[in-house]
Amino acid sequence: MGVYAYCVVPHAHRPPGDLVGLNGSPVELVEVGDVGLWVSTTDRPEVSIETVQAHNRVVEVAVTEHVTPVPLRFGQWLEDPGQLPAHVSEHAADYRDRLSRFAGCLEFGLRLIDPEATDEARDVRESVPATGREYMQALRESSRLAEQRRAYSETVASRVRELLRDIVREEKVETAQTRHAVLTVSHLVAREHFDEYRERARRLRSVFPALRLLLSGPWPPYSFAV
Amino acid sequence: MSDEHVGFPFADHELHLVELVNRVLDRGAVITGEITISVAGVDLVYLGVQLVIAATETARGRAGMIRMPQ
Repeated sequence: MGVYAYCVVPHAHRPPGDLVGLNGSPVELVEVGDVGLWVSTTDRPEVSIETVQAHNRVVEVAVTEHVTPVPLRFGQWLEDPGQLPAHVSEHAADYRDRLSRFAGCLEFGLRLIDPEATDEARDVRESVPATGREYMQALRESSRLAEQRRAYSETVASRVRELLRDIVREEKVETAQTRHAVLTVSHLVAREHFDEYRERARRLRSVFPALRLLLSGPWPPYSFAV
Repeated sequence: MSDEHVGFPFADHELHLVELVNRVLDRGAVITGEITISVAGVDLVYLGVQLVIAATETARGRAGMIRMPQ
């Protein structure tokens, strides 16, 4: 048995008495100085859809109107519970700062996908040229296509920022892009702006009719916790 | 007055699941230097969400341990 941690919360923010976490274990508050953690005493968890959902369920319960926890990544399990205070003390100032920034806010995820996209830059790069000259031409063409794609992503990101700027507290753009992803961004949004955020984000469908919009949330602010 | 816990309604179940796994496995704060997770009884050092998904798929294929909720 060890201790599994779900999220960092403000001092004295207690879980409901009947809250159950991973492996059916009760969830408890452990306080270290002026921050707390919601934890369970349990064996090392298996990773599965069910345990991922159970982890998130506990973090969601920690969310209230005025408190937004700092979500921990799945797998924060320590064999020796005695190691927990040292880990938390080391990052206490950062946790206090994030708890203050997150209060009253949650995260939304926004993806703009180009369903017709082809990775032309990679295709050109991976083609097999017959001569050195053709090889150099392929490299130049690949570089030009990659730059074209990057510029388009920046144009889209800029338009999204313009549309949402006054109702978004923080943004985090995912830099690793897939073939179809034009923009993947998370936004930290205050509760009073949730409806407005959804409405404006949906307007992006008419701004970029060739792209598909995937909007998710509200989430605990996993993307802003690191 | 005590705070009210708030709900998390989602319309699109599949999108929700993908976004959930992406966030819970690959984001969030870390308190331990090295994360060890267990898949189908085998301890793995966590290196990133893509590796875990690959390992999970392998585990599902071999052991039938990972089930998608209905």
